Amino acid sequence: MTSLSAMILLPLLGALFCYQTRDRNAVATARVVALLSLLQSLWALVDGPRQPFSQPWLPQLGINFDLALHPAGLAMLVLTPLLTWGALGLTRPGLERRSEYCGHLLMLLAGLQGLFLADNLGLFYVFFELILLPTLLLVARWGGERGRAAALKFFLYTLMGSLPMLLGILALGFQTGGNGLAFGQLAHLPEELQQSLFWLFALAFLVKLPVFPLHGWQIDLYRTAPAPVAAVVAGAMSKAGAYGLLRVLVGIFPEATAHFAPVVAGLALISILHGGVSALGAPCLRGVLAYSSLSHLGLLSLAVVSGTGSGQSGAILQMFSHGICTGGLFLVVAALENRGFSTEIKHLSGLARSTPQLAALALVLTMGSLGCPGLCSFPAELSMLLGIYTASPGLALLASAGVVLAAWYGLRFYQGTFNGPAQDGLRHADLNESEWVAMLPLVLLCFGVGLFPDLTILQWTRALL
Amino acid sequence: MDTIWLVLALPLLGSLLCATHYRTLGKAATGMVASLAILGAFVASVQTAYQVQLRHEFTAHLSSWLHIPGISGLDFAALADPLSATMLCTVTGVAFLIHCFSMGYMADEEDYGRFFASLNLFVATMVLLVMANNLALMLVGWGGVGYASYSLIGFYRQKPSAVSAARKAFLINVVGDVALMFAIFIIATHCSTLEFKAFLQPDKLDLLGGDLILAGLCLMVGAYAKSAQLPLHTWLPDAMEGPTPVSALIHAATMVTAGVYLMVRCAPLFRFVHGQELLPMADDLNVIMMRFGAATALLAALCAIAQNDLKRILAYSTMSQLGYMFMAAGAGAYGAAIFHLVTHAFFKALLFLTAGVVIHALHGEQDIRKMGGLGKKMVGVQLAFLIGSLALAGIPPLAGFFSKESILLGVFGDGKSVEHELLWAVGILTALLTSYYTGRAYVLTFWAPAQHEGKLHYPSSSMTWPLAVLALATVAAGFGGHDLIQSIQGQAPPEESFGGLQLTALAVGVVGLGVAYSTHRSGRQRLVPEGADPYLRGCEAIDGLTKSLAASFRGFADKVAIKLDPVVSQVCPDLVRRSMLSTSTLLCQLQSGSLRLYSFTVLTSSTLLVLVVYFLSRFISGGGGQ
Repeated sequence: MTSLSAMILLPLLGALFCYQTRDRNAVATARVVALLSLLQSLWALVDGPRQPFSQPWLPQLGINFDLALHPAGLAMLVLTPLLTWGALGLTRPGLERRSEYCGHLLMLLAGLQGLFLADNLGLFYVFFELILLPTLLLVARWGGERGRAAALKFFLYTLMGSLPMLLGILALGFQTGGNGLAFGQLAHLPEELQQSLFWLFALAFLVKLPVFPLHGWQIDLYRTAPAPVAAVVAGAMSKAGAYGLLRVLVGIFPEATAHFAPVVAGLALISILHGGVSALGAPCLRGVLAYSSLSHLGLLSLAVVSGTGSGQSGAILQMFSHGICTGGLFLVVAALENRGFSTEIKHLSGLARSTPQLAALALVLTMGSLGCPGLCSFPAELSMLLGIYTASPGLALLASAGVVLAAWYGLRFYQGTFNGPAQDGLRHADLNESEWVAMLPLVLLCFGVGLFPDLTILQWTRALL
Repeated sequence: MDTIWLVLALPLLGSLLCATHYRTLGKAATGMVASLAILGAFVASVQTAYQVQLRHEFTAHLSSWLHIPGISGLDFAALADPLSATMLCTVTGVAFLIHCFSMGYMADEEDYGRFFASLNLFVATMVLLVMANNLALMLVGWGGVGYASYSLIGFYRQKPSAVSAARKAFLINVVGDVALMFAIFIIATHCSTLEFKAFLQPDKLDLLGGDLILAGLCLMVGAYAKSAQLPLHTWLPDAMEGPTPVSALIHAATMVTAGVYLMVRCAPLFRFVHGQELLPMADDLNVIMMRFGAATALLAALCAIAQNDLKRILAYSTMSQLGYMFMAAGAGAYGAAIFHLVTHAFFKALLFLTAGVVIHALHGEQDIRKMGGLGKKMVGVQLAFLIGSLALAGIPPLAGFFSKESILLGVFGDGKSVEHELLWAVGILTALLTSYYTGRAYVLTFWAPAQHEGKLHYPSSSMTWPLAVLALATVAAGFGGHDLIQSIQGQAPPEESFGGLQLTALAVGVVGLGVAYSTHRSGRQRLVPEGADPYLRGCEAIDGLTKSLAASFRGFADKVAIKLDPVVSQVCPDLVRRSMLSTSTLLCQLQSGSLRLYSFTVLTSSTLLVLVVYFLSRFISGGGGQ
């Protein structure tokens, strides 16, 4: 496993293997694959193959199989297998067609690992589209009655974003005359070209994140998808959009990004505020998480387009910490649903009494998500807001309303579920071992990154810059 | 590694142990582990203070913490100087006593482990707040104590009033955190460092220019939220929903004083002297700080008169005393502010713990109108409360007298400005009110005719000895004031003979107590007529306003989420669908069966396609060619 390609190949083969296994072995098999994938990524982080990998693929179009580690993707390479591991650990007992379900999850993992490793725009696009397929299948098949509609809506939105990107890539391909679409070779495009192609690419990423008003798919998808799948989608897949902003827009179209920054910043700001207010009013737990994602990732986009080092370094950290917290909270929702609870906030109360351990984990993740100092989102938000402040103090002031709103809806999420009078005398089972093992790494990372962001993440990303 | 890190590590370890091993340890051992961790931290604090005496001040680096491009000094490092050493000793010392007290007080609670884990976590975060050598790391401790306070206010998590009180405290504290964040941004962008010792140098402060006042205001808003100053005070009275030891430790002795600590820590920013003259804008900040401090002191004292809940009286009293400390900081009497902070920690912790014993004895009754007659049954407790009350009322030789005195002297200054004289007068008026409401609480609780029946619940010895130690400290602490002020301020306090100013303060203290005794000894419940209540309860009116604002915003949020967002998020798919529909209708019309129309369509569309491809390639190559 000396090559970066093994990091894609392993989950891919794992997925193919999973499709063949029997239902009762599927989850265990998939967990082993996710764990191995995690170890691979950790190894790559600490002392891995820093040599880029390159293999000709479609040389006529300049699309080659180029893989390399990039600071923005590094942390995500660890987070994605971790979330997959967590999602598998919280698979609903008695789920039908498990082998397919697990296979799709591993396929999603493979696609995401490829996306975060791709060093070629064409390859990036392939993976960007590839992750769509398992997500659609997972939501349509296991998402209940409204799953199909949500999947269709998601598909249409993504199509609206990615078709223009395909056009943009083709245009770039013709433009560079088969010289290659490797990111490194696209670094110095003329400004007019950047500006004319900017929106073709930006649209795809803004849909994927999403930002206002392109967020219509998100609430439906997060409400219908099986909660563990939603954890991976919200925690890792939505970061494909963030990664695209950093890698493609800032990396290839820096001047155009600066030129169009006010438009993106405006949308991002509306996302922060609209998401925050909606999360406060959303009637169900999944809705709170969906809108909170809209708000948090709005802040992230604002930080990216602020064009400052601190903003972008904070955004890299935020990709990771938002993944930990929101992904983790979706796993909490999964644990609740597996115990037969409704996720309507008004039907929930006082669960800390019967499930104190779950409550403790949920508390850490909620606090992490709302940016409580000492936990993972705090250094990210500090850094991002500092970047935004440097670019425009007024914008930072407006964006900081998102932080206060986050505290408000975060507490509503946690207190509404776990505090207050316990409703019935029934004692529900607290977390079992498999659930503990699935969620504990996220909680530990939440502390680790919060207390020592430099030792855990930033020093690795800095080493690559 | 310096011993100063033990002050942080031991409570953290204790917290972890209590949280995870409560079941295997059992109740007694859990309490013991938690208390011992704090005792260890106290010993390490004393050792640190000793080192500071020997080496003056020093910085202990642990590791790098956060890397933000363009900002230096974001390390995990501790600053040990007289200020932080004093704070560390006070915090850990009082915390140790309160931990011991809690072992008895909380003995019947189910969630014993969670309580001690949170209490230890609180001490750890408070210690981090105090020792951090840069503003950003301090914010970690700052937010951490906010969290610990939230979790302990809401300790009785089944109780809706406790849950909402905890939420309120947390949210107001987050507002303060955000303000502090902006102070960080302003300082970071101008000075490119956040280390206290670096950015508080005159040459760095010079770089702040006109933003100095903004930075100062942000720091003040942060401090006001944490220290329950007007108008961000509304969470503190509600915070009394927490168990009484928590009120004693967090909401009286330590956490709420963090704002005062911040003001003193950043003193150079507020006293920024240019040449010899105080900069006009720095002066503005000080005037604001003094006025708000005075207003808080007075309004909270007024509100305390109108309360009947023992713990709420003490809560408003805490707010009022914090107002004094801010007045002192605004007047530049930083030594006096810290002196009062320390003595207040002792006597207010004493008062709260005694109140806890009383409430415990009466099976949870907190209304002073339903107490009375306890003076002869609980002599020791009565004596402890008396010592605390006398200190709060400012009667010599108790510590409160000296520290309040040094604040009032600091505010009076040289007596040349009318503003300062007025503020001094407000301070004296507040002192009068203070001694009255303290006396009222004391007399109604212990000496008025008994208003309760049933057996008293007497305290265990683990609850009484911390009271004795705190009472002793309340008596003794007043005499260390001179040295303390000198070490904080860097210069000796002005020698003052016992003059008219002190006499006035003493007189109002005695008068207040006298009025309280003569009015309430017979069991009469109030001095002021009920009609005056709205005027007394100004602080609560602000609370009502905040509540209704929050409620209407909450309603707005519901509307946005349920009504507006579904419409907004449907706009894009609708647009796509509509354009698809109209295209398909158009295409349907083309399908008419007419051969001529078909051939025309084929011809034009293919021509169009060629043209489009041609121009597109021209455009792209043209764009790239430049």
